[in-house]
Amino acid sequence: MAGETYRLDGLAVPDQLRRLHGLLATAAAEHPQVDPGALMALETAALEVANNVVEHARPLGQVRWRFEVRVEEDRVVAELSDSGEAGDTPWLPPAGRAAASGSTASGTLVVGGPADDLEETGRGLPLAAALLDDLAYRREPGRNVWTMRKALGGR
Amino acid sequence: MNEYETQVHGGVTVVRAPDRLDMVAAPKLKQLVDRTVQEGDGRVVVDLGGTSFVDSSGLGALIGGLKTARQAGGDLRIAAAGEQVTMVLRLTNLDRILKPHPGVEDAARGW
Repeated sequence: MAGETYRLDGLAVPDQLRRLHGLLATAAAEHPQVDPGALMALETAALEVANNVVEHARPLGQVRWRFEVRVEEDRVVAELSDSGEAGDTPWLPPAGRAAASGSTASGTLVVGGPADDLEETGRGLPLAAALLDDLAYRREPGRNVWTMRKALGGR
Repeated sequence: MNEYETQVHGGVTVVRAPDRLDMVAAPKLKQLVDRTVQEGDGRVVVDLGGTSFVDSSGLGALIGGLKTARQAGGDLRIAAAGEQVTMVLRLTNLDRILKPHPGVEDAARGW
């Protein structure tokens, strides 16, 4: 079943987050050979990115998204695209910093995040970046696209 | 025990967090912790034994609850965190201020 793409289309609203979880649970169940820890990390990251779209995509409540995830031989790749307006450039850590820090393996370093430990917001995208090998954003005509990659095995 | 159900262990109120402590559930948990702090002496244990998933909104609710409890002269402790919750706490460095206790009994002891 390697290479199969799981896809979800819907509105970028909080109620839909559970469907995204359901899709990832299905993908995990149909790939029992894949490291559950890697899939757990990808799901956690994907939901942080989705939260970010739900909160910031405009016009609020009317933005549609598509989520796709594909299990490949040596990695899991996910993409979340939405029909929202191009907002301010979303905050994103410099490319490669999350992977270079070794945070996915050792979990000791947080990339970015709030300066104040007791801050209640601002951890979502830094957490997503720390969980993945690659997190990237690009603006295409009419849509925002986030791509997420997580290596399987050997890491 | 149902989601969000609370019970008292020797003066400490235990709040049971839901299976998925996400953007949808986080505000409810925060409200419940706030109410628990108002009604009790500010000592709260959040039981994460039934929580398979937490996101940054859920972490925000725990931090918010911790602040509320401390302002009332109490504290908030977490117990029985599973694999995903432990991973997220570690990656955000929040395990330094929300130290995971193995179980509710451990968390409620020695206060």
